[in-house]
Amino acid sequence: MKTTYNWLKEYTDVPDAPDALAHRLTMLGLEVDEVVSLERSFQGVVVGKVVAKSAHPNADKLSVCRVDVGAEELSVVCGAANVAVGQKVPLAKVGAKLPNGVQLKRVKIRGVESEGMICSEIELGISSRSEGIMVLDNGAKIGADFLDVVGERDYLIDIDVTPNRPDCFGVLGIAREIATATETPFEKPAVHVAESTTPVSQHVKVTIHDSQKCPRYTARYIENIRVKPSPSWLAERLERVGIRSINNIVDVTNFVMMETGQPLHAFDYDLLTGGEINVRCAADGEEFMTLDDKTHKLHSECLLICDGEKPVALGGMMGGRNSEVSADTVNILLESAYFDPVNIRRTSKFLGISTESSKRFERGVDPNGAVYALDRAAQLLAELGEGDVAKGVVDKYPNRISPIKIKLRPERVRLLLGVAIPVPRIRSILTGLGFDVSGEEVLEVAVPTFRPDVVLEADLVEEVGRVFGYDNIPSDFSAVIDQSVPANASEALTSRLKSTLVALGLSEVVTYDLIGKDAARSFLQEGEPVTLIKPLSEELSTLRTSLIPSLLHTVCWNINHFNKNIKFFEVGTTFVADNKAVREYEHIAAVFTGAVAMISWQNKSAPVDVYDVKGCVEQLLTRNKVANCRFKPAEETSTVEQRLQVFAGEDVLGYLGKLTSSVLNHFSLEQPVFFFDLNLAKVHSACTSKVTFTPIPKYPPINRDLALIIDESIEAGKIIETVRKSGGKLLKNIEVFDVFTGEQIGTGLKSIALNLSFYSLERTLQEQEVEKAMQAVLQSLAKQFSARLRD
Amino acid sequence: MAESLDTLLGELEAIRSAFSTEVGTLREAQAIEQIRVKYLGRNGKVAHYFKKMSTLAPAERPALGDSLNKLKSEFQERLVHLQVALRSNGKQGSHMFDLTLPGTAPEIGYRNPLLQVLDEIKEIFGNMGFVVKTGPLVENEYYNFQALNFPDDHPSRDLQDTFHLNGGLLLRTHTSPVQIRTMETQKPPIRIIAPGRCFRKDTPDATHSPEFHQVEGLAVNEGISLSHLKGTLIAFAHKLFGKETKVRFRPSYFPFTEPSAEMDVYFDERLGWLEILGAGMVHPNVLSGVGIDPEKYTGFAFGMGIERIAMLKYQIGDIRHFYDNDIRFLKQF
Repeated sequence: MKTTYNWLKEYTDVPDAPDALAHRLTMLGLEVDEVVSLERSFQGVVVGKVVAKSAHPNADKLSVCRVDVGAEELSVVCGAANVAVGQKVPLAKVGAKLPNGVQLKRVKIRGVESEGMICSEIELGISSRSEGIMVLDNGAKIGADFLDVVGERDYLIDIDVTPNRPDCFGVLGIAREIATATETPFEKPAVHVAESTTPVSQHVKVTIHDSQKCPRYTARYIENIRVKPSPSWLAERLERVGIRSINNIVDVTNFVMMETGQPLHAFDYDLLTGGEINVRCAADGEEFMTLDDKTHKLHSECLLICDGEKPVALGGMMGGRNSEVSADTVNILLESAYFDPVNIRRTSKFLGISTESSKRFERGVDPNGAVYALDRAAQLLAELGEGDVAKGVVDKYPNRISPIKIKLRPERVRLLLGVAIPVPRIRSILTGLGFDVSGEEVLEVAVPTFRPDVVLEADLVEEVGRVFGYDNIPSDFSAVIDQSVPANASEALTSRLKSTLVALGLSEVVTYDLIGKDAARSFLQEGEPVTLIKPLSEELSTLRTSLIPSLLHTVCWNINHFNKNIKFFEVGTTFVADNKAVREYEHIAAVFTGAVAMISWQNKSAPVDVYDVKGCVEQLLTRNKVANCRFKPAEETSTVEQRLQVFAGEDVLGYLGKLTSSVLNHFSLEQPVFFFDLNLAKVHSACTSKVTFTPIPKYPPINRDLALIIDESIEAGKIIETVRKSGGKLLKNIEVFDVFTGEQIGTGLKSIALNLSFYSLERTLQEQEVEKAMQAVLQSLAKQFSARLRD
Repeated sequence: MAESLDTLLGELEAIRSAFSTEVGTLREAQAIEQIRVKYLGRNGKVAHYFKKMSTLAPAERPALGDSLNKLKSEFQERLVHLQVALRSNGKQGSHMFDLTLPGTAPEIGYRNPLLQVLDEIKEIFGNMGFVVKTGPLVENEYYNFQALNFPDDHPSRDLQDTFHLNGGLLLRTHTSPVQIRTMETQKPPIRIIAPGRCFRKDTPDATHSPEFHQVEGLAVNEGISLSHLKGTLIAFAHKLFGKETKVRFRPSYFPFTEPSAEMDVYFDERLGWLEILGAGMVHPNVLSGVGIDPEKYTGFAFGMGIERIAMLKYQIGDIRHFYDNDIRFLKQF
């Protein structure tokens, strides 16, 4: 909502400078976005009087005027048709600098020298009107600086009005706030309509067919009006708040709307059949052309204002082309109505149009303010358009909307705000804001109908609190905390998992939940992907079914930005539709590509492989006390090869592996990418939260190396398993320290070297016991895998 | 027999060059000890000349002493260097160490600054007794709007342009539904924060993201007032932005709080006051909707956007950096 500093001052004393006023409004809950100085420079522009006018000798449309500027008389060529002897005009002398940047020079126009220029409003930057020169009030002093004539400096104040405050969509509402806060009087302009003797009922008949959607419709009839440009005070006031000046009729309706918050509409009465107004709902599919030349297809909830035979306005939204006020208009019908906010909002959403009018109606204008605005406009139209206002108002208001009453307990104010505000202050705040307050212990408050947002006691408390000032409410730093509620354990666990991954050299990323549909489909494991009804784009159309596609996006981004070595992880949600319900799963997933470790002069680049990922997952899980973590090779899929299933005991936690070339192609990736993807809830339940100390062996271990030669096809896991089973209780640890194939070993064979560590917590081991265990191990290996020792 | 000083000094020069030659050809760390004994040992060459000191005229003795001391410390220093430079353990062999080469750092990971700020906020409120609660990202109209006192067909819904799914579902536009879900199952006293992801239909640009993060807070108990809200949030701002930070509260509008407020933080001359969060006293309709008597209990709630706070904290000008995850960006935090 835009207003100006001077406009506000018309209704109340403003003790603040513009910036201080902006701060005051902001602290009242009317946040000021900006204050713009409307200072203009009219250097070299003075008031002149046209004392003579003669035709230009060489051009039909030009005239040569003698203009008295006090100290001298200038000869000026003028192209405007409306220039006339006796007028006071703004005259830009040679050397003058206009707000549009033009610097005036002495010129010859069609052979006649011009010693200046008589200016139009657009040239002076006052309004966008360019038809003819600006004619000043007769009282303007000849030779005076033009700046003195157009008044003092003004400031645009742009307020971000919250949706609950329709009253502040009018300058009067904002002025009321200021007056209450500064405890100064506030007065609405007094209205007196000079009426003719013709009764309005002779010309206008209004029927409301749907009083739910249109609870009130008021109208006045004004005849013999002259449509002409608005006086400069009006044009300028509107232009300053960003509304284009059109003519006196339209400008008055806009002015009163900006002033009171009540939208008005003027119809060309002679284009209304039968002088009738019928307020009804549209038929489904009915079409209507609004005055912006757009045709709208309506449905049965849209409200139409019709004359005796046809629709003439889209109720609360916009007038029709067919009944618009034009230069030829002589008689007008002026509308001021109250429409149901919900229905206006639905219509606005349905048609996809939002106007100054609909914005106000959908927030809720004052149903009991309709006639005040109507009269205010009628009075101005009579003054500015020399119209005759017919006697009386047509006011259809079948069910009067009365102010609601709310009880306010001063104790409740103290309880909610945390400060005891004296009852007289509460009373004066509410009264200032337009509430009627009675009662002593418990206040009985009648809410004015321009405040539809106030319906509960808490709403009144806010009114009191914001005018009292949030800054004046003390801050209480004490708080009794209920210590019986335990902290969120899974949050803490997730945080530990993340720390482990960061320590392992992985970086944490944040990616979108929304991805493309194809990607969501290819990583789907069950059910259906969840799609948006109206997505922003195809790339952001579907909720992810896996974290991998979004992680691959970050890989692409980095590879395209010169970083080929990436280890990223994310904790995020995946979504699956399952019988209309949407299931959400938290996952912890990572991608690995490029070199396994940081490359330096000492460490040469080694590409990451599936063992690196396996090791990482193993560290992640064992570090966070997942018991019985194990891996099992699993079938390859269209997206994953070298696939391993990750288990804790018998529970599947997730998968790891290498992404297939078809996935990489989809993302235009050329280097191999590995990943792991674990279900976070399952990881959580596999983590043992309780850690118990295991005694550290006091006695030295005995280590034995075992270099075996076996068939190439035998999996290391099976060898280890056999060693573990046959090694006895003293065998505590097995490490693989070398795997080798080559000619020395023989084709179809491989060498695998293990280190076996034996120890006891109770005693020092004897060589013989270990020797015995080693024999048992070797026998089992020989029997099961025909393994033999490497020489 | 008395020897001349000049002769002795000449001999010392010869010892120095012999030492240099021996050290220069040395390739085994173990050999250092032999050289040390030979030159610096109790019966070594340097000691030998110290013994000759008494044969000189007293006036000449200091000159020899100085030269010997210099020689001794020179030899010691060279042997220490040699010790560092020579490691004869296997692979490195007789490789010469150059300690001016860059160190080889182990690789570590980085964390997205957005989540670091989120964790910081969780910690601050955690220390004030707020417990973390989470909720689904796919919500319905009831939890996202109705239970939070958003009227149907009201312009307040325009504040939050929503992504809709089939079956009356939607992507939550704020973390406030967690308030409702918590109050449905837990009786006062309640003191929670709900961090998490939210969605609004905004086309991505420098200041908008269709996905963003919020932290919602809620405290409900007997006797909670706007004073407590102010105290809690001022303490928060001081912990996050520093103790000198200027904070102000101004009235605002949210359907689910009444009275409502926004908190601004003063940054500097250039940025001025910037809005950090929205807050207010829990609306009586919200409380009674979940079966909590608003006459008996009152509460406050607040919500803040993490991206905005992280952008202010680190002076990041473009919200998309958080979601691009350029490693050069991540490494800065």
